[in-house]
Amino acid sequence: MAEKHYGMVIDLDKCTGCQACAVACKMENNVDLGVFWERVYRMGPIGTYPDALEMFYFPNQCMHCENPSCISVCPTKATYQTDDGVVLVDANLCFGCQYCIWACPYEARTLNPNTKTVEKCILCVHRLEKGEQPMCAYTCTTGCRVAGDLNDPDSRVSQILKDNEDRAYRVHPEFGNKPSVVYLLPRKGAETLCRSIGR
Amino acid sequence: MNSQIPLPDGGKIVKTNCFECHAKCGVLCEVDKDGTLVSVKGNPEDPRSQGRLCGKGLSATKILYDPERLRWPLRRKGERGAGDWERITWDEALDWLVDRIQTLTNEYGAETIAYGQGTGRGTNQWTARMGNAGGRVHHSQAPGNICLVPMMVQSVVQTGGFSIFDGCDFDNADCIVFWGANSVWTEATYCSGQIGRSRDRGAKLIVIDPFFEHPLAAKADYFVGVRPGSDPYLAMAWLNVIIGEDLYDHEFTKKYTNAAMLLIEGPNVPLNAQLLDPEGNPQSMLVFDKNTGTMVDIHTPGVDEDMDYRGMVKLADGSEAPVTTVWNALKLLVEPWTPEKASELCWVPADVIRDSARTYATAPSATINVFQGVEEQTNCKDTIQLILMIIALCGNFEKKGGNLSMPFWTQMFTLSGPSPESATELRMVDDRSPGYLNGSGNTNMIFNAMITGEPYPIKGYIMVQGNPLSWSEDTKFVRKALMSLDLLVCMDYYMSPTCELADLVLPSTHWTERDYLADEVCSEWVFAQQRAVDPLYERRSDVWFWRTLGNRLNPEWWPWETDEELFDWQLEQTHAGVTWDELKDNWIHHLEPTPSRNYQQNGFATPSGRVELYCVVNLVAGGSPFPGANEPKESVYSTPEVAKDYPLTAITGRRYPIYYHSAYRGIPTLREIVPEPQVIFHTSVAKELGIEYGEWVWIESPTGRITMKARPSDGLDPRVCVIPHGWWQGCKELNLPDYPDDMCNANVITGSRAYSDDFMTPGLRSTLCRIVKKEGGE
Amino acid sequence: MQIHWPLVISTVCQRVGLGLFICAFVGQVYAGSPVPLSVMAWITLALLAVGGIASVFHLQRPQRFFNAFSNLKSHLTQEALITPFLGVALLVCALNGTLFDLGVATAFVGAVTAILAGAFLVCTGLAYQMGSRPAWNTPFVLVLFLLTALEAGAIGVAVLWLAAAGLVPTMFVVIALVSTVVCVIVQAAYVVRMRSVGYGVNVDVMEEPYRGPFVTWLAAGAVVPVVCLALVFVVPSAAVALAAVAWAASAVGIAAWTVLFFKGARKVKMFPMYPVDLNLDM
Repeated sequence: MAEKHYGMVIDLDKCTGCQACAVACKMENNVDLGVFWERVYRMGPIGTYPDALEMFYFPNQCMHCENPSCISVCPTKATYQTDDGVVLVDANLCFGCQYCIWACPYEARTLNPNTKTVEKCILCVHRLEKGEQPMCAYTCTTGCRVAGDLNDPDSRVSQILKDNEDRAYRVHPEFGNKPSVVYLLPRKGAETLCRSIGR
Repeated sequence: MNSQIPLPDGGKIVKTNCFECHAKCGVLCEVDKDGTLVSVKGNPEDPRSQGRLCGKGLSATKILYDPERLRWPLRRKGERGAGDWERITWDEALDWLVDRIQTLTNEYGAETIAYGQGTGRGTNQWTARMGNAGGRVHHSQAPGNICLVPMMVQSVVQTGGFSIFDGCDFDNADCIVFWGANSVWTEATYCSGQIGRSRDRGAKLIVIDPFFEHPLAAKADYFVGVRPGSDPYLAMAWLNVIIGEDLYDHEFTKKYTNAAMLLIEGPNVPLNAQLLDPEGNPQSMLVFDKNTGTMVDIHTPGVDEDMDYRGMVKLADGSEAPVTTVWNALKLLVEPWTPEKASELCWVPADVIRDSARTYATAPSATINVFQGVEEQTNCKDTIQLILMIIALCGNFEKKGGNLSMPFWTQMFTLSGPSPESATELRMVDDRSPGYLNGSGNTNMIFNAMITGEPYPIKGYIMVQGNPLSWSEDTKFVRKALMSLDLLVCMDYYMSPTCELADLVLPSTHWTERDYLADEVCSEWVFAQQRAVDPLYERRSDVWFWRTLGNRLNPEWWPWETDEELFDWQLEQTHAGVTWDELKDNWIHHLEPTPSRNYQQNGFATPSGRVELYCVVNLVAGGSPFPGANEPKESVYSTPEVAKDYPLTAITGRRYPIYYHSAYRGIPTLREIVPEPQVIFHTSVAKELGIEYGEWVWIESPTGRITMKARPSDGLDPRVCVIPHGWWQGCKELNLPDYPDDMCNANVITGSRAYSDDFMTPGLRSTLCRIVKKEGGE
Repeated sequence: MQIHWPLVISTVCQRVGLGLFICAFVGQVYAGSPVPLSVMAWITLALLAVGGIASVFHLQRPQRFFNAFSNLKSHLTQEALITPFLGVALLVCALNGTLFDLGVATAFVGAVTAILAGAFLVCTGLAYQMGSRPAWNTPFVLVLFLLTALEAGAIGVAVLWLAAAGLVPTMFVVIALVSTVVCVIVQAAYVVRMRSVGYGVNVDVMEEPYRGPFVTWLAAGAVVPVVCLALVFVVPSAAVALAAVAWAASAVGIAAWTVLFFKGARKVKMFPMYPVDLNLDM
């Protein structure tokens, strides 16, 4: 059997910016105050009220790239990729040089001022390995996020991607990082984005 | 026990319900072998939330163990409000309180004590029972007039049920409307996941809200950016389109509404049977039967009713009167309200009004979710009645994918017991509002009676989870009133600004440490909201407090020795068909649907047995049986002299998905997401006033002024601004200070000058104000 | 992005120090030198020590410094691996002639040291070239690391030769002047490029917060060194002072330039097609 490739699909058309994922992540992983492994940003509203307005929410976390730029710059090998494609940081190795923070195009990493090491989303591997969804996806009030094995064509995440191919979008594909977190573009509210990427 | 699952390490998973908002999502609480709450997550077995849980619920461990929480009863030692307390036992507290109540009652009568709460979420009935048990009057010093009462009461009198809140069948709807409601943030349980699924299968979405930052606005097929408080015009225009373009459900309108009911044209009063025949029943409403050419009682079966009837009738007193139908009168009522005309007043482009109305009306099934954006207005009755009419005309009541009535709402009334005989005579209302459909007095008058003793003295105020300094309009006045009391008792989680002024502060249990029944806003289910851990310190539940205090004061009203006995009685009264023990064992129990769900057989629980377009109960209560296109009593159009100096129309009550009203600003994991109060107004206004993002500004109204940080936005009309409420608490861990002296309290600027005639609701969501740049040093 | 002062200090010291050694070595090979290479090596070592301490302090957990040698693909590991060899080589050059005499091997050891120094600068330059920072996503970064080192090194050599020999080594002052001018031109090109890097993170150095370091660089890094070096020919009597001023100004200029370098390295916007940023307001 082929190796697993864990990833996540996030439907921006569904996300309502409720921040439940951000809180769930904090609780599940005991993330320190001031550090976010996951949080929901918002674009807009932008435009002229009441027409021609755009707004969408953007949950952001580590994209668990196939070709992560954080790994090659890390001098300590604290940042590594598991066989299942999850990018992790070994807090026992990291010495806080922060080059990975600079190199990541996705604002996914934070220096924890208490531990003085760099932290980020771990895709709740401890849950994935038990066949459970990461806590952000489990709690998501809109059901906009689903994680799973991208290599398994029958997994729910693969099915959703297949059914929504026209809306699938990997942020900044030109960097070649090949993110494993795939966004589904909003059906409305992101016209400028869609236009600029030719959708 | 099925609802408690033991874990191999000696801990357990407890199935219960979150209580951080009304929606009460099913949750799984993990408790370790030492009885410590370890984690909380959603329970996939809850058919409504299916495992989903918001940030508030997920923070349960932080809230339960928050060191800032109240721990034991505290009695005031020094001056009122000086913060000088002595710790006492519950026995001392109850003895002292009973003595104080009895002393005040002996001197001033039981009407001198007001009972209240904040949002009940399960204590509404017990707070009311406490007041009723006094035997004189229940002053409901609670925010019912701005939350739930207008929506629920108007629905019940008009349709016999309540189906525009937790009765929206989002999962099956072809068109979903949020009207002044942001339920995906405030009560995500029954809507968020459902809406995403429904939109995936092509359901249309309409968001009616002044603010484009409504989390669904950008996703909506139609964003209807209505001016705050102008909803009646919009609703009239929807009806104008629906009737004018013949988009209504002919069968439902004819058979299941009182459209064919006969009225005397002109005064538009019902032509009842007694008007035709002195022997006739004055409560018998008539319709014209096309088969027989006669006027018969509206309940008569097998009648071919003439909705369009017009004619002259000879009355019993010998005079002749022109007769018409409700339908004809309604058509006349909405005829002037073309989308173009409504557009001028509600600031929504006419084509958006027209297209959204068509979309709603032509959907095979459609559901409308309503809430406080509509409720907290002086014209709330009009809007709610019009919305209920829209739902009825399009045949969306009790229909799959429409608005379904839910059992709890019509069964809760018996729990509070009968109103005392003197309740009407002692009720406090004045010429600002008769309050036709609100059984309680005007909270503002009751606060006034605390200060002036007029019309009679109010000396005591006892509340659970209430913080009127946050929820009531005109905070400065409320503060003065609370300072005038002889007895102020607050049961709360935290030392709230109201608690600070109290004589007795009682520690309330968090939901994880108390037993409750979850029935309100639980759609067609009831849940055992059982405790996960034993109460910490000396905290007690609000139900325990009312029951125990009630038992000491009026044992005939409060005979129950334990909470469990009270729950059993509650379940019996609401015909749940289950006992507390059985329920606790299963955690969840499905309720019988309301009779009107099968309305073809059972009709609707209204005087006509139908959904009432013309609402006889409103008329009998003294109000208007038809809705009016009424402007808010204070607005840019109705009080231009005020608007001259205060040109912005503010909505106070911007919600956050991570806070519940004023709760949980002290929880650092939530507070770091929304650290500070921000007032939102249009970018062009900011530019004009020279205000930058993040600058502290004044927000001023004729009532008062507060300060918040400026957040210019493009997502609203330049004539509107958005003010959040509930900001008083600091957060020690994040070094964020308290906001003392109501400096950021939205209700400092809301006024007590105007109220809804029917529900005594102030116009909190259309408060006139202005933004002022702070000068150096302010 | 925020300025990391330890990195500003360490990279400035590295460039001034290593540049000095490389230029001195080259100068000695081609023209002989009135200043022994060992003196140059001591100065370089001192500067590298300051830079090294600063860069260790940049680490949030400096006690884990030895983890730095783990990832051969990382330019930082490469830099770390070169450091001990470079240090030893410099020390050998520094002690040559006092503790021992390498004799004919002197030139060879000097060459190895100069090559290690160059490699070190190349690794540092490459470390900063990253796609997520459009301003840094260019070979300009490496070229400028080398050019700034050359500029500072050439001026430094001129200063030390003048001080030691009291003569105007015309060729070296000319080289210093030319390399300064070339460096300034390339820096100007980098500034121009920053105006149109795209991804929503274009930088106009005449706007805040870039203006301060830009103007400082322009004065200290460009005008003062060029003018002073030119004046050496006009007022040969003040040659040492003029060259010293040029050297100090060039070091300050590199520091100012590095501040601008950090400030201008804004991270790509997630959605550069929008004129506004993602925000966290609710």
